[in-house]
Amino acid sequence: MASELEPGGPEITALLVAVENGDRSAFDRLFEAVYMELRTIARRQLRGASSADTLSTTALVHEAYLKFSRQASWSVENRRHFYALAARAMRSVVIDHARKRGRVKRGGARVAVELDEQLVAAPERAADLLAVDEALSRLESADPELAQLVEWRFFGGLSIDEIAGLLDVSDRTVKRRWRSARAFLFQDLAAQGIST
Amino acid sequence: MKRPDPAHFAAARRYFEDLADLPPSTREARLVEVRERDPELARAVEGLLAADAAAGESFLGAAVVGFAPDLLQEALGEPEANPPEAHVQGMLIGPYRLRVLLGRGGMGEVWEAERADGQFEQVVALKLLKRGMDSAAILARFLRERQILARLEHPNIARLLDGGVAGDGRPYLVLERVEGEPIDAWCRRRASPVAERLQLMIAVCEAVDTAHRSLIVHRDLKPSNILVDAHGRVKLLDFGIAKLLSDEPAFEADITRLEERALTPAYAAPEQIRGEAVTTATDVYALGVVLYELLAGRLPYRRDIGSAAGLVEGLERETLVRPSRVAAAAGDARLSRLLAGDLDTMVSKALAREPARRYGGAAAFADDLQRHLDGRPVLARPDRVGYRLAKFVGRHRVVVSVAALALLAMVVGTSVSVWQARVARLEAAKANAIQKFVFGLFEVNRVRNPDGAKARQTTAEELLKLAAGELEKAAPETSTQRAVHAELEDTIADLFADLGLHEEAVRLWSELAHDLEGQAPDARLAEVLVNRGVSANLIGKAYEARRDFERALAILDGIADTTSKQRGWALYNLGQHYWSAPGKGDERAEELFRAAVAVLAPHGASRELANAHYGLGRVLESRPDPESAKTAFMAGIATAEAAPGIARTVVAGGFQQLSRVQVAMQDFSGAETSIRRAMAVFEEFAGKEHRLTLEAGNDLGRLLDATDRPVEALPFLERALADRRARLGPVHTLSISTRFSLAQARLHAGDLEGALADATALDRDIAADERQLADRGGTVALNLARTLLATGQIDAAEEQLTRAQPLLLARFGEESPWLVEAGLLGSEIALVRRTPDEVRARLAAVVARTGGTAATDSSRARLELLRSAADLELGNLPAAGESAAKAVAIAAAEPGRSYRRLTEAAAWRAVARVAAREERRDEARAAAASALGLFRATLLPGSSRLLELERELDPAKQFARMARSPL
Repeated sequence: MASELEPGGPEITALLVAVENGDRSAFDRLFEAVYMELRTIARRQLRGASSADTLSTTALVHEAYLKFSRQASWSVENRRHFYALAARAMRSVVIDHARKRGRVKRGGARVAVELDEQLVAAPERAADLLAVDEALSRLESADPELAQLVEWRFFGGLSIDEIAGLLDVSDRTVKRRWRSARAFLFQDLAAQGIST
Repeated sequence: MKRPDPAHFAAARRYFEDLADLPPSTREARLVEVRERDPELARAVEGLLAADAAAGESFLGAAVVGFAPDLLQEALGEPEANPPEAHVQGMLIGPYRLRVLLGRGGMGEVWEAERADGQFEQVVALKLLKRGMDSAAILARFLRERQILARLEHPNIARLLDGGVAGDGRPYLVLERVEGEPIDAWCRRRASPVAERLQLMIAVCEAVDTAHRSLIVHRDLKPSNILVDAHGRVKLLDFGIAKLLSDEPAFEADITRLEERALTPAYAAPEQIRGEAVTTATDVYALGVVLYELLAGRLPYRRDIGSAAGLVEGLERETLVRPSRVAAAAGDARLSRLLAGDLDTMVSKALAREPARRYGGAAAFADDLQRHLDGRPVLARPDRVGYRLAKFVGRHRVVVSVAALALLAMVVGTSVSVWQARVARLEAAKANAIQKFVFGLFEVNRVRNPDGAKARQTTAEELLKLAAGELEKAAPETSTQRAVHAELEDTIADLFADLGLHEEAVRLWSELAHDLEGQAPDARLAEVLVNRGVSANLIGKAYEARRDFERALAILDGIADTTSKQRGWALYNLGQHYWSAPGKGDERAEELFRAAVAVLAPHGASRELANAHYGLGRVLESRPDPESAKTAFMAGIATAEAAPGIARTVVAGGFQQLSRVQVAMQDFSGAETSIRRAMAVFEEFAGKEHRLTLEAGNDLGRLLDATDRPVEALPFLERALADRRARLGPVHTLSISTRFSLAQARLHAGDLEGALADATALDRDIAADERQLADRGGTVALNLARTLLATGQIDAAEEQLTRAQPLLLARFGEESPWLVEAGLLGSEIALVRRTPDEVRARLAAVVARTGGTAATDSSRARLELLRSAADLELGNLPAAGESAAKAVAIAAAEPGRSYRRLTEAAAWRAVARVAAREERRDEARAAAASALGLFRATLLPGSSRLLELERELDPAKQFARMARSPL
């Protein structure tokens, strides 16, 4: 298991500091810890929820934050970094899975289709998601600030308010930036031939 | 897509954010300004504005949750290398406490669990179904099926124990906990031999069969559902579970719903993939896939699971590579040989595309596997032929039935018309059942001998015994089945009879007669009795045979049948009985044959009518009335040639008999044409080694010997004797007859040693049997005497001749040519003893017996030769010369001169001898050369007789020696 880190333990704070100072390995360890925690939380939610419920990314990420920050009093910087990590982690989870589904769909080496894998998600959704991810990568090259915003909002499930708080900017600014990012992505996806 | 330039995008973004909230008119004015200054930037801004307008607030607004909720759920719920199970371990699901997570599969998680309420100490497997499945529907189906599934008790099937709904609303199923390894992994790990794999499959099939008999279909059999435990016992998991988990698409051919069906494409039967009715045959198919995998080490088909439609389309293109081929391709020749034949066939049958072509059930599959292991013939038919036949039969039901019987008839070399007559009275359904049986025999034979060549070599006898065995096993129940069974008994009995296996034929006909005798006597019973009688007669039960024929006729009288073919056939057979029985039945036989002809003729040309003509011909031939006999045989041949669908062997049989009459009429050339014609037909029809061919060869051999071509005769007679001896034993009348012919031919050919050995053995064997002795003792003794004389044993020859004469007299009467022969032989003995007076006295007796002339030209010539030799001995040279010239004249004048070379040679030799004594050297040399030329053409090269004659007649030798020689 990649993370032996106890959520909320003192190491988390140290890691966050290290991440702030640009320590790449600290980022990877922290990312791993957050990733695992998100999955754990998600699975527990899935078990407990009634079939009508859907997962809330927001709730997932917040619960993870609460867990990690239980004993540490985190600075805004720390918080911002954590949410950035969490949103990135969520993006990884979803996109990795979408890629896997895409492979299955393209008819790879798998022989047996298990019962209910077929029952779940429409495969084209996975393809669309991968397209969004690619568009987001291009946005990252063009404008990292906007890309970060999209990651937080779309994958991390954070609200405009929360993002404004974390970035210490007005809601209006976040909304304006979101609108720019959205226009870029739409234009990019349209050029890829994805309609939404 | 190219990566945008950040500086460029930053500028566009700034203008976009400035302009986005402005009213359209103001926005356009500002854009005009930008366009004038930087048209490219303006285009970028315009693009963003257009995208903004098109996207709207909702685009990406709901985050990934709203975008792809299921995907996220699935992504986060996905199993991983070390699933954190601490969260649920120890949790209660209904009355069960979860202990260890055993695995995560398609349906959800499987836990090892135990009863928490202390009711039983039982460790179970608990299947916790995944969220997202239609819980309510599954539960409803579970409640419906639970009773049935719970009743399914079999040592090789994991039981369904319980089921319910967990606290979180997820359904769960509780199954018997099984520790084991999937069957494919188990076999691989142990490198288990094929036989062991088959044993496992038999156990699996039997378990599946038990479930099927409770009307439970598994629907999702695959190695991961077939475990083998530490003791090597198989255990099937998830029986009936698939049905619980899927909708009932039984009558829905909606292929788009493939995803919702519980199936594993690699193991799914075509009908399952198409969404058609799922039956027990569906499980048989999956069992076939598993067996294929166990034998070939790979799946039978690569199925593209990309889309439901693609999967269905792919079915049509699937062609099965036989497991033996897979093994061969993998370089395992030993395994390939093991799989070729039965196993390939069985796997193919289980994997048949159409459910109806598979094994009827898992039990039948298991049976066949067991048969294979036991080395018994398997019931699976090679797909190629079986399937095509089935299709063909579907199209031409009755035609095929006829063809099948005709085929079987041809295999054993019998008349096709019989089968046509037989089939004509059958309803299509019965005919179809029979054709199935007949083809089944060929298939059983083929499967037993996968090598085609070996299968073809199967003798008809083996095939028929196989048939009889199958028939005895059958227990007909319905009236149609009984009718078919009876028809088959009749058919097989007939075929046995044709092969000369009359014991078997009589046994089958007796069974059939016994069945029929329960009903009112009818034409059917009459026919069976006649058939039984024919066979009974041939195995020496002449009395029983006659009783059968007479009873058949009485039955026909009783039903006022005076004109039927049936009656004609019974009359013929009774006639044949009288004809072949010893004693004076010939008159009665002739009467019956004539009656048979009269009854049968109005029915048109038929095998029966041809035979009636032949029967009459045989009687007339024995009168002897060869002219009338010839007419009868010709009528029979004409009938046979005109009879529809009759085997040409019947025609050939007519020619064979005709040739005998032609021999009796001294028409050797006609006789030879006839017999060679018959033989060619037999050979073409039945082969060189067939009894019919060899029998015709016997006749041809005798004809060749009788026409002074003994060397040519020898191989035909030898082969005929080998067959008769093997078939009938050495002392059967027919074997004795051929032995006699062969001994004579050897003597004529000059093989004196062989001739003597044969003649001596023949005489000894004949003496042991009173009836044979009375019948043939005279001719055999006479032949021995002649042979002894030829080898210089004069006293012994005299002794045998003395023995032969009374026997010949008793058997053939005073005027028989045999007595002429005996008299001539006595004269020859006297001549060799140099008692010319005795020779003349004996010749006078011969002449007296024949009223001055011997019976045949051959005898007359020989008479003259003997006279000549006697006069030569007495020094009466002119008389000797006259007799010799007469002999030459007789031989030269004979219409069948080319068939009388030995007589002519002997005549020239006599001329040469007289000329030598009279010192007319040139004349003697010329006559000797003629004689030697004829002897060389007739006698066996290198034989003692020819060597002797060459010494005597060679012009280089001195004539003095020749003149001294008595004969």
